[in-house]
This record gives sequence, structure tokens and C-alpha cells, in this order.
Amino acid sequence: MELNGVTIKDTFAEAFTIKAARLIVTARDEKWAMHAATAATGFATSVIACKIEAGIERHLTASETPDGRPGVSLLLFAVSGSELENQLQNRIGQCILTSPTSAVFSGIDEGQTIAIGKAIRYFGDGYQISKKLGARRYWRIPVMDGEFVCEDVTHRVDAVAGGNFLIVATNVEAALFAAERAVAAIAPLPDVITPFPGGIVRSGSKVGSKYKFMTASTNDAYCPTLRGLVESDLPDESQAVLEIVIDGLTNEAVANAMREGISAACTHGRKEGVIEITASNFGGKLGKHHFHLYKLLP
Amino acid sequence: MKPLTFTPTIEITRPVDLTPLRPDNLTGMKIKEIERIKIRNGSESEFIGDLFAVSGDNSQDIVFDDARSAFECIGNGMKYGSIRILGDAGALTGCHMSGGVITITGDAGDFCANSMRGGLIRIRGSCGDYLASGLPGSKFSMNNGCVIVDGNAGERLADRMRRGLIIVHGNAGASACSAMIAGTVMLLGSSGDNLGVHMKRGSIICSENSDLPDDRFFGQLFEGAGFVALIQRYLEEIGEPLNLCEKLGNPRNRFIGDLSHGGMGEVITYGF
Repeated sequence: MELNGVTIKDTFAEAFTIKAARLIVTARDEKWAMHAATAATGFATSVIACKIEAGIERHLTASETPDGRPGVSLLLFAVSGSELENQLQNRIGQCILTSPTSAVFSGIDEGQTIAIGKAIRYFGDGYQISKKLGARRYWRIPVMDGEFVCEDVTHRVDAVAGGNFLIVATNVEAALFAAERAVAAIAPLPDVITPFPGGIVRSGSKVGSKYKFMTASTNDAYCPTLRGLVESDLPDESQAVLEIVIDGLTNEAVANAMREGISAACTHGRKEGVIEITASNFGGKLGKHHFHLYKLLP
Repeated sequence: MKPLTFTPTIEITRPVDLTPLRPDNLTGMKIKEIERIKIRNGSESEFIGDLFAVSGDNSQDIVFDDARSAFECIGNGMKYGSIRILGDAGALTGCHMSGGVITITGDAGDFCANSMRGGLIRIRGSCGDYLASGLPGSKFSMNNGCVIVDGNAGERLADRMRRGLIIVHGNAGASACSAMIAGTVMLLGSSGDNLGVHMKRGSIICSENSDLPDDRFFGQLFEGAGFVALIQRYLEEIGEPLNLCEKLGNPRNRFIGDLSHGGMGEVITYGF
């Protein structure tokens, strides 16, 4: 299959089931909401070493947030419910509570509960105040600029992590340009994030290593400098590969993001230097979510 | 389906205890069975059918037509469903209620929403004393839910209140929120003497003209509280939007107290 002269390989991206939560972070203005959100989603590119994958889903206007202030929606993914709870509590406690004028609320209302304010409230040292409105409970924790408002619990749902596609190009500039366009196309989509820096990964990995202590190592088949040393999957004229990794709340959201991202990456086609779109999988051993590129694209 | 409607067929002047006539109690009952329910009418026991004409078939939507203040204990212990009281309601309306919605188009009597544990009561008129308070001897009173009064409230509103939300659009009587344990009360009109006396925790939002016992509260300037916006969103969700700035102006001061009872309560005052 070809899209604007770019070869689409007959393969699939392999993703796995994961636990996810959504937080709504608000603040006095968008700048401070972003400060809190950026800190809370820092060092959260991959569950391999960060234990969590997180990112900014979208910006929220004042009319879209619980307390009528500008905000940001965050999606956070971890391999287990307990790890997700642990990471949420730590990140809220160290990154959102500490950020001036911030407040945090649950962004998902169904699924198993995760304590957030319920745990963070003890920072109030007995001066915290509970407010229950309908079915929701909030905590007001006194801090030096007034009060930190935090919802008592949020909820976690089963989600999908590891949706991906690889952009194979003639050079780094071409690969990066196409990848940036793909990330920009995915950014406005609901229920998904691209957790890596700028949404793009250059260090795609394979399972295992020659070193026993490593669980994952460089994806040598796609490293242009290893051509000739290993069995390469790269076309001859290729000098750079970049990967887009997508985590989403549902299978459909990830599939939609992959479709939009691939289409955007191929907009200018082969004349821009994009040669091929492929995807990373582990032979079906890693996860049950398989996104076949041929089925995604028209 | 038509709402299950109770219309008085005789002049009812003595207090009648209408506790059994609530949605969770009437589910699956036929009109003839409902008419055979015994209730207290003053010191006597009478059948519903002797006092009311019963019509309709939706027991989850009950209507009291031409209601008077002698109709007591409506929705007492109600768990779910809707009760609409077209007219006035007597004492103890919504007592021990844990869910559902009660709407009163007229006034409500004393002890309305006593020991309420959930649900919503809308009073389009005014209400008597001891709204959302505890019955004598009880440790605390309202423990959850929401009460909205469009008119005035009598004395001792929210006495020993434990949790929940009360909004009074009109004036409140003396000793409102006395011995309050927690929860939130918004008083959008004036309030009587001894507001918040002996309160331990909880939040009162009121006009800066309210009469606080000065020696029991410590006040300071206040920019605003984020949780007030959460209350406003909640009110929008239940179809009772409130423009607090239009009603009360902007936040002015926050008083903590009653200092003789731990001082963990707060009175947030607004003004123009």
C-alpha cells in the first residue's frame, strides 16, 4: 500500500492493556495551570523506568472546569492500579499541591476509585476541611497562598498503551518534520496522549538484550548506523527513523490517533523524504491490541 | 404514566402523619391498597381513602394537591423518587430522608429536613424554625443532602448540622447554624442574632451585614475560596443556578470560630 508515494508496510502495532486515570488541573490562569501540569507529567515517558506514562491531553477553558478557572486535562497510565495510585499521589503531592493557586479534580467518574485528596489531605495537619457536594467530596487544604482544593478520589479504567508507528525517512530533518506534523495532528484528539518528548521517540526498543540486566535495548533493525552489522529492516536510502507512541483510554481512540498521525506524516509524501511507515510489534506476545496499518488506512 | 396524586376530600385541620406516602413505600401498590393505608389524624387513626382522593399510577412521582400545613411528615424516611407538594407542608417534612427530591410550592413547617441524610428539598416559600436541625436529644442533625429555601427560614436553622448544603435566599432567624459540626450554609438575605454560635466546624457564607458574635470569631480580609465555585457548579447541575456575585457581591472577610469551640468553623462574608 502507498500513501502519497510513501510505502505503508503490511504490519501491525502491538499495544497492551494498562490502567489509566484523568486529572483536571486548574489554576488562576493558564500559565500556572500549565506549570502544574508540566511538572506533574514530567519524567513519565515510559513505564519501563518511569513506572508511569503521562501527558497533557488538552487545555480546558474556564467553562469546562469544575471550579470555573482555566485548566489542563492530564492522562496518566500505569501497569497496575496500585502503581497508578502511588504515582498519582506522589505527583499531586509534589507537583500540583506545590504549584501556586492550583487545584485538582477527577476527570473520570466511573471505574475503581483511587484516593487522591483522601491521601493528600493529611498535609493539612488537622486543619483540612472536607466538603461534600452531591456524590463528590472535596478537600480544602490550607497552604501558604490560601487553600489547595483537591477532589477526594478519582477513578481508573482499563486503557491501551503502546499504539505506535515508525516514520522511515531519507534523513533526520525529513523524519522530524513528518513526525512533528503527526504529533500536531494527534494533539487535539480526545482520550489520547503521546508521552515522549515532543511526542516523538528516537530510541525505539526491542525486548531483551545481550546484557542480562537489561529488559529492553535498542531496536537494532531500525538503527541506520548498524546496517551491515545486523539484519536491518531499513530501506537502502533511509538514514533516520522516528517513532510516535500513543496511549489512549480506548482502542478506538488509539486507532483514530494512529490514522490521523500517519496521514499527517505522509501529507507531503515521498518528495519530502518520507519513505515508509511501519509499526513496532513483538510478534503478538506483548499485548492483545493489534493495530494493522492496512486496516487503519483507507 | 400519571403521577400518583392525593387530593383532600374533606377539610383537614388536625395534623395528619403522612409518613407512609412516599415512593419507596408505595412501589407496586394499587390504588385500593393505598386507600387502605392507616395514618394518624390527630389522636385518631384513619384510612387514606377517608381523607384523600387517590389517582394516578406512578408511585415514583407523588403529588399532594391542595396541600396544607396540617400535612405533616411528608417524605419522612424517603429513599428515592419525587414528591411534589402543591401548597404548604406541615412540620417534619423530609425528616430522615436519604434520597429523592421533595418540592414544596408554598411554605414548610418547623423541623423540615431534620436528620436528613441525602436527597434534595426545594422550598419555594419560607420555612419554620429548626430547618435541617436535629430532633431534641440527637447528637447531630442533617448529615447529607441539599435544602434550598427561596423565602425566609426561622430560628435555629442548621442547628448541629453534620454535613450537606443549605441555601436560604431570604432572611434567616436567630441562632442560625448554632453548634454546627460541619457542612455548608449560604444565607443570601439577612441573618438574626448569634449566627454560628458554638459552631465547631462548617462553613457559613453570608452578607457582610450579618450579626456575628464578635468575641467568638476572629476575622481577616479574604480574597475568595475555590470551593464556592464548586458549590455553584453543583447548583447548576441540580437545576438551581446561583449567581453569588449578583446576590452578595464579592468576598470581603473570613471569620474563624466559634473560638470557644475549637475555632475550626468559618463565616465568609460578601459585600458590594
